[in-house]
Amino acid sequence: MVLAAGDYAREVCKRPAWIRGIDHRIEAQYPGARDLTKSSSTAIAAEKAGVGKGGVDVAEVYAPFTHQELIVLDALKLPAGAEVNPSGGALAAHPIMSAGLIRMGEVASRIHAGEARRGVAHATSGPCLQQNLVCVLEGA
Amino acid sequence: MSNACAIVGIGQTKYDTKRIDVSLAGLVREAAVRALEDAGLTFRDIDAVVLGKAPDTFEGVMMPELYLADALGALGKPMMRVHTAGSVGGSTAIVVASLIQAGIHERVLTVAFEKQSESNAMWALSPRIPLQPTVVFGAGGYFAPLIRAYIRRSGAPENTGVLVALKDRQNANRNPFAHLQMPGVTYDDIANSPMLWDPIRYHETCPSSDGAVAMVMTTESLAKKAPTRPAWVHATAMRSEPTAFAGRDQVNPQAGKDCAKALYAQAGITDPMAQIDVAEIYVPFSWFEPMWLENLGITPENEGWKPVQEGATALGGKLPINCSGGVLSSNPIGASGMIRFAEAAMQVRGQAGEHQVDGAKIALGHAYGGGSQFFSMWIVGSEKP
Amino acid sequence: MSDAPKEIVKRIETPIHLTFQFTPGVGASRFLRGIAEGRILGLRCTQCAKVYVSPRGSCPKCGAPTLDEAKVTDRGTITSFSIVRVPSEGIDIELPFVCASILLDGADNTFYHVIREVPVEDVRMGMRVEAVWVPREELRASLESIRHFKPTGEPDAPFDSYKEHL
Repeated sequence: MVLAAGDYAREVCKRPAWIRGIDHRIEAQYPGARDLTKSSSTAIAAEKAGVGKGGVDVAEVYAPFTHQELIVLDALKLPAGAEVNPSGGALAAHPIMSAGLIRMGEVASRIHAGEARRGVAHATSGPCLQQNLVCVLEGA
Repeated sequence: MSNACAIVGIGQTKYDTKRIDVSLAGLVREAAVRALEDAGLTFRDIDAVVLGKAPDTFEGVMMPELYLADALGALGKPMMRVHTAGSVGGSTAIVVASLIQAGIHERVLTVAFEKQSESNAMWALSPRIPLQPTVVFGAGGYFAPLIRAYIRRSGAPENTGVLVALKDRQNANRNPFAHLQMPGVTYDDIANSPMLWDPIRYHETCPSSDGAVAMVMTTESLAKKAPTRPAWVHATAMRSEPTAFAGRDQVNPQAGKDCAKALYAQAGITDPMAQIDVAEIYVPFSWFEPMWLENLGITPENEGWKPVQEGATALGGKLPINCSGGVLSSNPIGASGMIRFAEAAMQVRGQAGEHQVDGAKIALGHAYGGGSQFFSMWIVGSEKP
Repeated sequence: MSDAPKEIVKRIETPIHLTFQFTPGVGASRFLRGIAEGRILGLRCTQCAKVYVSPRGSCPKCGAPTLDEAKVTDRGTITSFSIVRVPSEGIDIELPFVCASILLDGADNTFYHVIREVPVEDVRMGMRVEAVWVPREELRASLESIRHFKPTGEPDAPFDSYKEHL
């Protein structure tokens, strides 16, 4: 992925995907010290990144197991109508350390193509969703 | 124009061969708590935690930030880990500076550590891949031929390395945190120590250490409320280059030269020897002091050995280097770069105790890693830039 | 239960063992195939024309692919070296030995290998050396097919001829 600032991004890209908010949070190491039905770190990151400040056309979440997708979507508080994991998500391809960046790339590609105006990308690390990142991307 | 960034808290652990009195978590916490106390803060006041750490094989703990989040009070906060080989401690401090300068966070705790006794760093540093014969073991085996090349090229007197080692060992005796303490060490002790990787003698090498260092960095407005004098970040720079390419000068790598040039331009330094009061540079083998003096543009090429021979890099000299005893006296690898950065900050805060350079106002912190290929540097000052 | 203080548990041994399946990639595969046949293959950068031995498929300086094969011999020059006098875990070479940085004739980069069949005190920068291979039937796709290097007896190369390769 190539990131660029302001005018340079406008110059080299017809429809840049702007990072409007990005935040990440960590939880306790031991799964037994957490409520595993919720993802509190995703919820904080989603709020700080400003997920709820507008509509969401597309979301790519990093959920290597099906139940994790439900937990993460719950924490993201996505508005109705968002398309989730059109790429097939981590269930379809899972090179672990790239899987989070792929989510951002997939959302950005939708914006580049003019198929989405606002999207949310999510990444996770650690056992049972210990650490989570949320990024809000927007077209012009 | 970016915001000002200040260092308001510094904490170090005692460095030692085996810190089996504490776990990995206990080790990083020891440094973190000391840095917070120095800053007059608690974990609650911290916005984010940034961890610096060399390869995971050094302790056998994969992604240690996940394990150490609890001990560093990071729950519910942003936490990230930085990894740029031996230079990581420096790079980590620069990442934190950029988080403050960009206005993303107001108070960041940063910690760098290594607990070498938990694994075998020599093994971890010895690659066994089919594209390389398995003949080079550890950093000493890798760097010794470069030192020989430097001696040949510069015509440096053969005792230059001994002089650097003697100075750093004497400096370490003034630093209670230093791993190696050699009271009464003499020139002959160093010169007569056995050759390990000829031309590197035993007392010209760094030890394997356990230890951690922590810093609290903050914004201008919060720094002004700090209980002790802050150190201000005047400039930061990082550069890297591939391990091997045709015509690569490994003795005086281009990336290091470019890094220093960018750093001085930011800090407004035109004559580093005159304008820098004290420097902490990453010297794991004695000969790297003259080599880095050249790479940093402090002396012309092939003349880095001259200030060493003249005593200019000793405490009380024109540009004292590694007053803490340096990497030669304490080497918890992942922390070693940040110790250099922290010691530079301690000097301009007037906090360095027995190894303080009187009236130090501008200090250089330097770290390198990999096959002399990752460089990170900062200039800190006693006054806001 | 006794209130007497117990000694703390200081160390627990936790062995970790991993076997990796290393994928050399297209460029290195050609090189390793050559080694298995007892010859050293260099690959030339399509941009700067430098020849790499033990090529990885791209030029580290230009980032361009190294596509064309170049003739490299198994003779070269010692550009620098160290005399290893300290044992290391997993290394079974008799001490002391010389670990040298070698520039092969026809190549533009150096690599480390062991120098043998000469007293360590006699090894010099600029000394000319050649590869000593394992017997033909033991050749395989690994640099360990070259046992070590030994002096050729040729006159030393002048410093200027390798000073750009330190």
